[in-house]
Amino acid sequence: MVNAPASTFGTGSTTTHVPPLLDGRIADLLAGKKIVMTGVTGFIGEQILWKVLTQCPDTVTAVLVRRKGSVTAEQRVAGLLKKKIFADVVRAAGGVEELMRTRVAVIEGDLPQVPDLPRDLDVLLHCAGDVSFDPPIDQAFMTNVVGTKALLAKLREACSDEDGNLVRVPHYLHVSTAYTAGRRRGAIPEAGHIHNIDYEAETRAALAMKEHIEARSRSAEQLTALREEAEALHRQAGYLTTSEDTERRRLEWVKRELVAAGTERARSLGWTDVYTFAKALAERVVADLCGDFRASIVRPAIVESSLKDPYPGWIEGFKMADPIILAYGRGQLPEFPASPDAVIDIIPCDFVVNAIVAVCATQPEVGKPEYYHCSSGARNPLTFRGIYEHVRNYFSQHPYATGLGSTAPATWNFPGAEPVETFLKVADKGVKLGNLALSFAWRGKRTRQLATSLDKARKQLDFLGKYLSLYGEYLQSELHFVDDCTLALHNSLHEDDRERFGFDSASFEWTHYMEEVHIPAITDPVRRLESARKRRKSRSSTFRDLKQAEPGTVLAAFDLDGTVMATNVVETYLWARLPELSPLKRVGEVAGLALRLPVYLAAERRDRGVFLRSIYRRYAGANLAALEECVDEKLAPLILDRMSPEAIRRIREHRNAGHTTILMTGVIRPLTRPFEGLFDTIVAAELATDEDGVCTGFLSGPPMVGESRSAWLNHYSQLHGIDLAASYAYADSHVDLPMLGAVGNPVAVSPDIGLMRAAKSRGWSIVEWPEMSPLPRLIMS
Amino acid sequence: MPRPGFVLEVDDKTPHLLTMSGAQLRLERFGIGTQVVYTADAEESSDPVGLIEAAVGAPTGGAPLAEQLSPGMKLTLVIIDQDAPLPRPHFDPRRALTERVLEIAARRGVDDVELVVANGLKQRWSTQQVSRALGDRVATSFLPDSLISSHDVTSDDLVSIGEVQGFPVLLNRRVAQSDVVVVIGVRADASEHDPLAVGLTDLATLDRLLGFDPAPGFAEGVSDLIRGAVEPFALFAVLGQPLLAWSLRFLATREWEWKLTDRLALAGSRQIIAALPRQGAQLVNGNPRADYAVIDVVGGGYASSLSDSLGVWQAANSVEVNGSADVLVTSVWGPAVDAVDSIGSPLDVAHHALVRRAGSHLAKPLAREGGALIAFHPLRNRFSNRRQSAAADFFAKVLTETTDAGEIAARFQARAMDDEWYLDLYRKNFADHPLRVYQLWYETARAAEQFSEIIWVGGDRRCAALLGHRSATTYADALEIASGTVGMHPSITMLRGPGLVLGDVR
Repeated sequence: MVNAPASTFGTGSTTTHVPPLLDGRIADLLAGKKIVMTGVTGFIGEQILWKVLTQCPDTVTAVLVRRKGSVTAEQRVAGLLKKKIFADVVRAAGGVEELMRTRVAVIEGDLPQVPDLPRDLDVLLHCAGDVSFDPPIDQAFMTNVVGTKALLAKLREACSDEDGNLVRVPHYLHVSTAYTAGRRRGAIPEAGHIHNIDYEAETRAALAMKEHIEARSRSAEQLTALREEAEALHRQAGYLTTSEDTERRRLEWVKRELVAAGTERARSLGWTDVYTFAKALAERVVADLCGDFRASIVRPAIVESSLKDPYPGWIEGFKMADPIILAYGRGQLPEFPASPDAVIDIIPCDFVVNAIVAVCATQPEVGKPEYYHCSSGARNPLTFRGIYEHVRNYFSQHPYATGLGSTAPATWNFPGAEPVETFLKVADKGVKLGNLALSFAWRGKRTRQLATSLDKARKQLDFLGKYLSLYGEYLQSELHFVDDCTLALHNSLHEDDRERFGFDSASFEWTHYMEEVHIPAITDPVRRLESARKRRKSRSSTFRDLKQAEPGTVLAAFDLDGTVMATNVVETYLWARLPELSPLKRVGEVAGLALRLPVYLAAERRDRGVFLRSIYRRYAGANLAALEECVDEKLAPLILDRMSPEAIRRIREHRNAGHTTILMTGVIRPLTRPFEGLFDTIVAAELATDEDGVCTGFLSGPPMVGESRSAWLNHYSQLHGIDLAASYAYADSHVDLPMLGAVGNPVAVSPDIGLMRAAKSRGWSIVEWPEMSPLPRLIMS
Repeated sequence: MPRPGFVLEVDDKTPHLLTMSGAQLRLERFGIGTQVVYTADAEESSDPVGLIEAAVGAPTGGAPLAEQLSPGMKLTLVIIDQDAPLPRPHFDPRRALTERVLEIAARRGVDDVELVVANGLKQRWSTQQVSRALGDRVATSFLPDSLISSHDVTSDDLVSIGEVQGFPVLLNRRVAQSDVVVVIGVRADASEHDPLAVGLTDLATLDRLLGFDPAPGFAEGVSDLIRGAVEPFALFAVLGQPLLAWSLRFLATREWEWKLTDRLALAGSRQIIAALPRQGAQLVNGNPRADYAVIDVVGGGYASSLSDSLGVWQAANSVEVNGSADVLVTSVWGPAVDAVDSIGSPLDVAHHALVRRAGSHLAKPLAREGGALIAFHPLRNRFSNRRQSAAADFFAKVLTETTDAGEIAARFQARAMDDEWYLDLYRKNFADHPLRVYQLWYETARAAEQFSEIIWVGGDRRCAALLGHRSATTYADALEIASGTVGMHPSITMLRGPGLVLGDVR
């Protein structure tokens, strides 16, 4: 049993400040009142609405909801009320529309552009706000500081006459967070935090920061750096793909910088992050602008799933600790750098909701904001080690089952932050090195498997890194939130309300809450989701059975090398060129090619077009007609035997389905002669010849690689009235990304690492088409 | 004459016996009482000149070939292209026969000479194949002027020679319009197909001849029609058993007669195959060539030569076997199935085991009706894209739907025969005609009906299931599986060695 910090002060439960107490049943106190709420579509707001609607039958509400895309506020609220927890109250009211008409008025609007509020409101309950811990700095100030100010201005307007004189005194209830205490240590009283920060100046600076960083992101140095990063990955695919990626990277960079700016500013002033910093400033706004209102500020700590209401384990979305719990269950967290004795101040959602509704029913003194902590740390503390033990217990009893078996829960030794950070650094380097090594590896199934496992490791590291930087502070915090006022309010609950509205944080057992309520509540839906996803995955998404199409409306484009045929340009060059040379010259040719191979490979890494051109230069002096004859007589069997049978079958299925089959390749045209029976159109490189039909070593046009393929497909489909969205494309390398991206059903065939990653992130099917020639390469005749 | 084949009854002193499975060789213990059928001994070939001279100079029932030729005649040599001989011969006897006939023709002043390969539904011959079978001399003198051609069953240029049962029969134009036709072939099995009927006619006739349900009397009708139309002179070389190069010579030798070199060769080849990756093993050990002794050359009228050669082959290769067994065991050795691939595609392998090997018998079958067949082969799902595209699709698409020959004939055959890609491969890339794989399957399915169980030892489970058969990991397991139908103590006959034996079951 952990000793509660509150006990060390030796004062028992007496409080120095007595908050306004309740002198009747809450339902009676709130009867006939109108509560205007923000944030009802959020986690806490939704339950508050539910609580008020079900427990305070004579109270009406109005909700401020913003429109989301084409969905109006009305529709959003109607959707919310159709949720299962509202079923009873909706039935009692006689339908969603009826309920909305009588008790839930909808005000469409957003912070900080707040619309007019109803003039008959009694309580304004503001619990909207960012839930993210790391919003960009401008966004954090916009919603929290500017938004609160605007809301209070409108509240004043709604309670004043035309001349601006206050005609009624409303009760403004502000939901903040306990962590507005920032990086302070020890006991935090239920009072305003002491600081002298000018929130107006901070807000101006934060909003200016956005402009500044946006401008910096467009500077030549920054854009060059981003372009180089994008080129390292996508150079082969072409300029457009690269530029698309560069712009994506710029937007990401801007966001990252804004987040960093926020975090650093917050830390420079003593807060852990911009979220708590902006929230703290918002509290100050409330204190400043509510001089002639009744005002209360409720500061919940870490709000997690409900203990009892609407049902045990009720939760919407993922909250702070949940990803870590899940990652632990999946075996992805071998260790976590938190202080084992840090108190993690978790409070069930229904306790927070009950407290807020109770505060709504109080009448605080005008001009003196009341503060309430909704937290468990003072009297029912749960340490990090305690959480770990509960989580471990739970997963020992309900192991996380994957395809191959269950994951054994890890044992943590709490080594502190440093070893874990060192591990992260080393592992990060390792993954980078591994990726570099793989980029030189021979393409194949094994390489792909290695790349996949590297990607997985990278994902885990990113996850760990992200949560360490996000929550590291919280997991080492030594704050304890005094909740005497909250307790006093709880103690003043009417006998009848104790059961329904109780919020004494010392009244429950952590073992029950963690192991029987909370952890199952967050893991069960994820397990269900994952098994559903597994089922979905087994059905391929873009590689599907072909349907008969109207001839000439659908096309199927195939890449040649590596997709349909297991060869490369160098090999086919040797096939085509060697037979016409004398034995001595053959040796010379092979040796010359081998000598130049590093140059060619370097060119290939840089730009496939350059590579193809340099190989094709070697055709100089070859007779085109002789080359074609040689292909027909000698090479056709070789080429056909190197084809993948699955590829041939698929091409033929496409033809049978009435699709136009197109071969798109950088290979020279004579080598495609054996495929003429399979494809309707063959797009290949044309060797330029002189008047005697001798190849000059140049091409008559640029080779068809990268983005020129997608352009070709687009133009072709326009000319022939083909529906690209219903069309298919098959290719094997990263260069072909634009070609695959141009159609509706792209399939990566035995892809290289770059394409594999792209295909995975876009949900394209990946298939293996091995060539199955019964003959070894060397003895083919 | 070589030592004739015989039956060994396994007793407790019998050593482990050689089995072959694709490219793998291994020694296996067989149960006491198993009848092991050994082929006649393989011998080195001797110069067949004397035999050829005799056949050409004193043919049965007719004038010598030289007397049938005179200047100004149109002479066509028809080269029969049946399944035999496999493994590929070092020296193809057809070459000696062809050269001799060409020599006589030249001496008699015949200028208009062409060679036609009676390949039927099999692939047309590439230049390499022509040189390999007929020798460089023939190839270099005739190929450049396109005087050697393969028969194209889909050609428009075929000549009608009459009707059988109301259906027109078309024949190769050059053959039909020649003054003298000399048929040159080898005899290395007991096949009773008429090689001209299956080699030189049109697609529709071939479909009726070897289709799912051939009309009775149709084959005889076609044969009579052709013989009436062209009256060929025939030369058949009857071959003995394959004698492999020294490294594989032990294949045809009886185990108890193995010398140290034979044992070393077996151990060596096993190690090489095991140590190398698949393609490397094929380089070293794949596609061995064999030497075939020419036992006799039969010359004369086509019909009589055909039956005479069959008689000679039967006399040389039949082995008296005591009763139809409950279980027939056979190895399937890749090089005896496919001239290019040392393992063989599952369809060819099944045909080889069921039709060629199990079907090689006189009146009484080697295994009783309702018995079991146990064959050794890995049944690897591999087909050549170029030569076996139709077979690969048949295996992947048709057999997954049904193995019933009648249903396949009704539902799938027509579409495959008209498939442009298959025909393109047949015409340009030396692939078999798509109809061939269907006809092979009909034969295989017909032969399979005789057995209640067909079990592949070491066979790929999926492939075996596709064929409608079963697979077992070991020979003992296969017997265990078979025990359900043939009991715990079945009588077993095993066909040993790479060569083909003719079972004279008493």
